[in-house]
Amino acid sequence: MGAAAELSAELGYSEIDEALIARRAGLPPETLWNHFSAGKEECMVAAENAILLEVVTVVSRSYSADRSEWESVIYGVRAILELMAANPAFAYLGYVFSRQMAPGPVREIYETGHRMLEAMLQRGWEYSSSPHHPTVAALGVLGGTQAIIRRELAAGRATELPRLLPDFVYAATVPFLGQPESLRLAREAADLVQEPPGRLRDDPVLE
Amino acid sequence: MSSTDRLYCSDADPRRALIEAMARSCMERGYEDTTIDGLLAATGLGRATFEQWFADKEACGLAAVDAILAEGLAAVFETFSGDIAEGESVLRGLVALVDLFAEQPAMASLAMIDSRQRMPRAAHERYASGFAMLIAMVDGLRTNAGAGGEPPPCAALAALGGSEAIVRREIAHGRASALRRLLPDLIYSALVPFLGQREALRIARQGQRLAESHRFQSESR
Repeated sequence: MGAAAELSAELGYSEIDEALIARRAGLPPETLWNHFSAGKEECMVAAENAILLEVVTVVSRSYSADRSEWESVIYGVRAILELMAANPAFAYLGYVFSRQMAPGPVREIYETGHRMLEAMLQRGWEYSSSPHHPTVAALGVLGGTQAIIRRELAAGRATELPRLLPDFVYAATVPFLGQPESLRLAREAADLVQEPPGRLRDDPVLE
Repeated sequence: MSSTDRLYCSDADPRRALIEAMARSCMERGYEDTTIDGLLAATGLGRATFEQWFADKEACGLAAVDAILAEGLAAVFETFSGDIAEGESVLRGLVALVDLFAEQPAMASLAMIDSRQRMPRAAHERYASGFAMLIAMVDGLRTNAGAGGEPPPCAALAALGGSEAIVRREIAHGRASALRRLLPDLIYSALVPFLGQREALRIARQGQRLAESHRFQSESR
């Protein structure tokens, strides 16, 4: 899966085949076919599922009864950014490939994950001070943060993503909380950037 | 024929007719399955006319992307004025874009979806250039942000990326003509990072009134 994600990022999905994926993974081609009898598309579907599972897992772990809802958002965003920084090829798979050039089944998984995150964000209105609750705000927040991620990936700066935590926190919270509170949270996030990375995974999928 | 199916007279402006046929074909069957023969059948033009304007399918596709991006940017630039507050300019710019997309849904789909997903890389690069111009315009709002302080550097990208995601979803679901009803939400989402909730809401309400007056005018026709 890792080899397929890397090669898609480097060459484009249409330019790779099963033999190339196996060679990059250092495995005989039959091993790939043993695991993915339908070939590269099945391999990419599995990779997309893995990244979705990872994202949901790290976000879920960030939610804690000891934290406020918005502190949990900060830690959740931080966990996603660290995950992407640690796995640039999977970041590309999750944020670029799956929405732009992926076959239908991969895109469906992406859209499922997108809807889940949108639903989680939509809960922000329960803790909002805004008198206006746009129905599309959560989609706007997701679209905005993804635009930042895609720009950084396109510039080859995946490993720098965690440093942008304050920007992400501001973008994710300002429709719900307004400027002063979001800027305060962004400053909290800036302090967090100075800390060593959080422990993201006990049982990593993306190895 | 509805306004959304507007066809240019092939004889009067064959280049534009081919461009619009390209956009409609991309929306209906996708760029990959679009053929020059299909464009000729849709416009009633001959291959020699096509070749007079375009070297191949890709050149026609890129010309179509260029056309809608140029129209979109022109519509937005016209609304920006030093005489009005920047928030009001954003409102007017969004209204202009939404109206343009409603009038030309196939071209909107080409710009917002096909250019980024299904067409050659050059199309995506053109789209990215246009998007970068809009970001630069909106980024000016950061320096005039509300009392809370200046938003982070990526605020304009996040605000426009969010608005783009909303517009893309509506276009992908064939709802370009109904984008006006989302004007208040689009305006609020785009402005709240810079102007704060109160001011963003005030301008969003202006958008609401515009959307309602448009609906009234549409129903009166």
